[in-house]
Amino acid sequence: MIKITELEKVYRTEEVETIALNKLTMEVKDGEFVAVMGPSGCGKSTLLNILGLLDDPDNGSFMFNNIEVAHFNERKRADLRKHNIGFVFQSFNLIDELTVFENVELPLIYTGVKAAERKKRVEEVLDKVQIMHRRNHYPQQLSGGQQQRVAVARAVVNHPKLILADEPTGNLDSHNGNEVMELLTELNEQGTTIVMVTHSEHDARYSHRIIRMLDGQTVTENVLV
Amino acid sequence: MIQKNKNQVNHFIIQIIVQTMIKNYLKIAWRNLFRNKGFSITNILGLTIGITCTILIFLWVRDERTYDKFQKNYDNIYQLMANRDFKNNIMTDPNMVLPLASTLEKTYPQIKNAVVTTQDEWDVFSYQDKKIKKTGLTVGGNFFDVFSWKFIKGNAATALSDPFSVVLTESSAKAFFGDDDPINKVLKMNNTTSMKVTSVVADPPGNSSIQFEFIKPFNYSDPTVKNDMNEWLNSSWRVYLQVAPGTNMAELDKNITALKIQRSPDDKISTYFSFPMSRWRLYSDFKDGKNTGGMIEYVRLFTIIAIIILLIACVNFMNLSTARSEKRAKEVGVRKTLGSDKKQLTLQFFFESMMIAFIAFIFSVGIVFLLLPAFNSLVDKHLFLDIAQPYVWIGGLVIILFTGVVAGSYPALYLSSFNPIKVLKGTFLAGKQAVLPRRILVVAQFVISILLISATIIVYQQIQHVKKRDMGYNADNLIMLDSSPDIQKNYTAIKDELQKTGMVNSVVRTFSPITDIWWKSPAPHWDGEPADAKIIVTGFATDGDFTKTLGIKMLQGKDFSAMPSDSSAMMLNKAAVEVMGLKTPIGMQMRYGPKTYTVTGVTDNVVMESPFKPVQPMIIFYDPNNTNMVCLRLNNTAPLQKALKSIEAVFKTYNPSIPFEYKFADKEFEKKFITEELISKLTNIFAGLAIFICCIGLAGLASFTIEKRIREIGIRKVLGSSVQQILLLISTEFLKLVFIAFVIAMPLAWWAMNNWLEKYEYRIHISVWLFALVGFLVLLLTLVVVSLNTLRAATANPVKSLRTE
Ligand SMILES: Nc1ncnc2c1ncn2[C@@H]1O[C@H](COP(=O)(O)OP(=O)(O)OP(=O)(O)O)[C@@H](O)[C@H]1O
Ligand SMILES: [Mg+2]
Repeated sequence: MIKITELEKVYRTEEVETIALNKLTMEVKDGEFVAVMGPSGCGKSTLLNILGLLDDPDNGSFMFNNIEVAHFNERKRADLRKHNIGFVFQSFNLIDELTVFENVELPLIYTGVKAAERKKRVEEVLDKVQIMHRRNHYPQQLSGGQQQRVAVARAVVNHPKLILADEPTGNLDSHNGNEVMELLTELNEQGTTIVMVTHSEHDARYSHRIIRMLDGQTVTENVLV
Repeated sequence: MIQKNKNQVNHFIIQIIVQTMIKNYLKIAWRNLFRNKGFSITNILGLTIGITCTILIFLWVRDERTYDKFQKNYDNIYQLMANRDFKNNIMTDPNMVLPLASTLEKTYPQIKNAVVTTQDEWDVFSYQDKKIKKTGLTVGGNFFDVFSWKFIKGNAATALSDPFSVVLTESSAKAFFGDDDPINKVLKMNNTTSMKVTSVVADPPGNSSIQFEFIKPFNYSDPTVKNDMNEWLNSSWRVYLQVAPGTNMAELDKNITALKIQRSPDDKISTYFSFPMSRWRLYSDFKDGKNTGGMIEYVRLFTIIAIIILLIACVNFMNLSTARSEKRAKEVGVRKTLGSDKKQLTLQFFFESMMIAFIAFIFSVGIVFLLLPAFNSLVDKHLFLDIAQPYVWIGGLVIILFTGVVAGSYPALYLSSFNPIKVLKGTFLAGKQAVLPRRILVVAQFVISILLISATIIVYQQIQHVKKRDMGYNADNLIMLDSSPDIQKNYTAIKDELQKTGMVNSVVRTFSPITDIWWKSPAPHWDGEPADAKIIVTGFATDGDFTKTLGIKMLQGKDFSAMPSDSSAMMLNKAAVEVMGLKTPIGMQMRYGPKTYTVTGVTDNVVMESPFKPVQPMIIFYDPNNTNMVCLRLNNTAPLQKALKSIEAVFKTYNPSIPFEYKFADKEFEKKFITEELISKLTNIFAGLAIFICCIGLAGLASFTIEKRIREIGIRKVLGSSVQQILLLISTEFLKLVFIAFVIAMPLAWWAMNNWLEKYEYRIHISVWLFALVGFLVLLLTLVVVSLNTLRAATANPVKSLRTE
């Protein structure tokens, strides 16, 4: 599904030049569950943003489903993104002014799904993350764990092939964290590819494979069973 | 002793505290000004435009309101007027008989002075090789007792003592004598009479109802004047009264009417009344004998507009301040917990709004100085900001305080009511409670803008509509010039020569210009006339080629044939035939004065007076000796300058004593729209500025909204929203408000403008499409302004906005 070779990303500010990704090469196969680990500032989020087509690399190749996307412009990336990729963030990133239902519905609106179909699919996925009874609540009326479950629901409502999760349990206690991890595992078992950044060895054990990064490069890969 | 010291010390400490506090407020206000540059610029820009408009309008309004106030006897001067009660119209008429003034002055002790003057008249004065036509007045000897003019040379007491003396204005004197002393110099008037300059007065100020370039006394030994002094029916003079303070005017008016009936028992239709000087300028309209207003309506309207534009700018400040407060909430929270109380906080915000108002005011004064020449030529005035006058400073202070207090009040109260604990804990949703009032204010702003824009368009349409009206004659290539004894004497030769030039198609002599009516009188009598007819008609005298030269359509019968037999012929216009109810006018006998006339033709209606009104009935005589104008129809293939040159040559030959001066009929016609055009221009400008201020407010609000929703925009983009969808999302919020404003403004505008149009008998009907167009334009404008502000946020990489938390 994903194959990147010698990928580079450099951030330039007035004073400093940060090499966030340094000729990074890696591969993720269809249906895999990969955890990315490494010290703070080693480029994990940068990598995830590029994988998620939110940002473009400065150099190197990025094959997504066997298509070279490294040079894609903003509009093409957005198009590919909204049909194929779901995101889960550490800070949930739900919209405060919208209800749970409306938050989950958003990706469907942007891919042009009809209202009736939207309702069906949102309810289906809310059921799955067991938050159906809270569908008309606003995010701030929910606990952190519940909010993250809504975020996961939103990430999967479009049936994406790939879910990118950046420290999805970072703001949660271990109980809620485990719930979210189990949810991700379940999705993975149903065929969704997952790349997850995490600082927690415990969470990483839910994955098939751990990629360890340092200074914008992969250093080791542990394959778990 | 110690106690006293302690008091002093206390006092001293309080003083220091107050001083440091104020200093502190100023310092923080100043710092905030720079810290929030966008906010400050938006507010200062809006307020500067608002205050500039306000100053300009107030200068104009002040000028209008101070008309004639420089007159020392302002409160006691009246113009004598008469309501002439005709069946089809009550005409309010300033024309009086010549002997009336002196008779009144002798009869009624409460009248300190009654002065008679001519209407504006022109005479040609010459001095050495200079020959200039000047407009002025012939006046009774007590003119300078009643009216106060500034004497530069000579004095009021002796200015008019000799019948052959003339008083010049400063610019007239300069025109003849340059820098030489004009006193006792002799001017030749109309090539015949020698007039000695006795005094020079300053030019009448722009805001004087009475204007002149010279003043000369009546010559009571002149035979025509002698004759007029015994005339109690024919009236063409103005009479002004200066009464003793406290005079019962109603009673005096009754007495004057009674006296007049006694002197001329035939006049049964006139009621006299005294029209106070304070109403001359602003309340000059009469309808059916009642004083219905006039310029005052526009003075009031623009006063309101000035205040409204300032309020619109203040609303910007309020909205942006409360929007910004969401960012400042924390600062407020911290300050409150640190012990700063509500009063101090409120003060702090007032200091900020005052400072911004003050800065805007300073900018405005500068801009007013720059704009005044342009504004003056627009409104045709000589306005200036006289810094030496206290009213300028008081006005300025009032504007700053008004703006500062109005703009600062709501944000100050709103911000200082924040609950500090909630703010600090971050659970305070500053947006929610401010949103509704802010929305209401935005709606109000746009209601006003839409009103002004609709008004602008409707005023414009009305003017265009009237200009396109069929005037009944052809004003293109038609020039008019004043006749003179020489022209009358040589008319046949002049006409011949003019036609020989090939530049002139035809020529006609007329009683008045085609753009004015100088003759109003009771209608002639005819057999079968209803007993209570009492119709007023306008009169016109002309000679041959009348309809041909002016391009007037004959409806029945024939135009005058320029034969002597025409002298007993009369033509009527369509309106006269209608109002007199004549079925077969041609051949009817009309008794007018001592003579009987036969109706030989009916002309189409010609709009000579107000183009906003229906045409009045008119009777037309063939009477070449009773004409004052010559009208020339130019050959429209001839180059204009060349045509004028050859025409000038003809008149120079036959009319050497009078400078060649002419007027274009179409230009004269345009002058009938002076007030309407002025209103149109002013509403144009102020509507434009109002909408501009609204737009900068909108832009400011949009950027605050975006700042607040930047994370949301990021999330939506991650989820696949396109740039257009983001633009629409943010715009909808504002489009909704503008739409509501439109719905409110539409009926208001419709009602207000129908009210305005009521003034005009000839007027447009307001079309619904107009509002649809205005609504569409304003919505489009909103969309553009908001989108431009949103574009950067909408196209930004969402990763950035999601990182910054
Ligand atoms: N927009 C940016 N501009 C400048 N430098 C950036 C930007 N984004 C990231 N960086 C830098 O790039 C490097 C990699 O950042 P990145 O966010 O990928 O780290 P990370 O591995 O996700 O760290 P953490 O575990 O703390 O989230 C860091 O040094 C960071 O400071
Ligand atoms: Mg990170």
